[in-house]
Amino acid sequence: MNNHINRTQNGTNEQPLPAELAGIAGQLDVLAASERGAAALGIEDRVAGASMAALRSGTPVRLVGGRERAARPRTMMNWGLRVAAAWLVAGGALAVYMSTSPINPGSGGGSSGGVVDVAVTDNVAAEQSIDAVLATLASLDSAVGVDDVLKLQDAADGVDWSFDEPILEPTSVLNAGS
Amino acid sequence: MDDVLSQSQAGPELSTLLARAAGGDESAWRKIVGLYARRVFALAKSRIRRPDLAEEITQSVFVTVASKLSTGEYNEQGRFEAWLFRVAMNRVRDEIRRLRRHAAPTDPEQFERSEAREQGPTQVDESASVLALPQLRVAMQELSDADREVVELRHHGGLSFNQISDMLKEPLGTVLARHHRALKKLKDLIVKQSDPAGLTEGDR
Repeated sequence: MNNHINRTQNGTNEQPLPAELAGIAGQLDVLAASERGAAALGIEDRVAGASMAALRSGTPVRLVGGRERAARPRTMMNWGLRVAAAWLVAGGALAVYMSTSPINPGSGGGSSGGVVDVAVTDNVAAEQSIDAVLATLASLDSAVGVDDVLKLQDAADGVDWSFDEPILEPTSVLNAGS
Repeated sequence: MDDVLSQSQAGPELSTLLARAAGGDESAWRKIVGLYARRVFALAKSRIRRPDLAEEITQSVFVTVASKLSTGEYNEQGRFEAWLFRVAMNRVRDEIRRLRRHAAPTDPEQFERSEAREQGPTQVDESASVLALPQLRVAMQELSDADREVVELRHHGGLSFNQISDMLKEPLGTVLARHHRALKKLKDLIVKQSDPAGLTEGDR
């Protein structure tokens, strides 16, 4: 309710709502606050990081939170999309999934394809992970393909591949996507 | 929501932040994201219902915005919020169309309805202290797309009616009328949900 009272006083010449509707408006404000609060921890870091990484690398990048990170490869496979994916695990800090599907689940936008999904563990700042992956992205062609995935695997040489929650081995993901 | 209000009033400070962000200042960009990311997320989640997709939309909205800022394509000086939420609403609409094309058995809106049914009717109270959020979510789905957009832009996006009018390119009076109509309908729907006899206020 107070929100509405305040909003009428913010210089926009808005009239107060009739009393009979102020209650439902107040409930809508609480509902909206509930939706904002439903965002996963660290959403601001990921949103800012994805934007900066996209600008720096010229490649659309999406950062995935911990909970979704675990589900994402399985989701991709369940959707039956032709996906090639790779894990790049730098000190347990991040993983990279690369999709070659014409319909890219990471993009959410249909047919853009080539979006790189970067999954970040919850306890690592997004920008650290971004810096780590940007060097790899810079070496990739703009069109993402299986070869790029292999490059990523090369880049991950010497890295501990024992992901904390291995869902799919990189090789099996590649096979399934081919 | 007071923080939302103060953000909406950022004015000249926002212009400075945008100019710095356009020039590649990452700290300025982070501040902009901090101001608006959750509002965009709330708008997307209200319609899509899935938090993962809502975050995906939020990220893609800000990638678009960052890109346009950095390439000088942003030319809506003084109207950043309306522009940002126009981008967001377009992405939400795209996603809804995509979801409808790939209609899945686990439709999030059906899930929401069943969730509300499971929780049963909730007593309606005039004050906001007794809330029926699941019922309210279900009732939102009964609104027309046009009315629902106004409600979501106002409450989830935290936009003023002037900004909504500007964004939707509709007269302020039309936007206000839609908002009032939507609130009345929501109220009637919630009363109806909590009253098996289905008597709305107008019936009493």
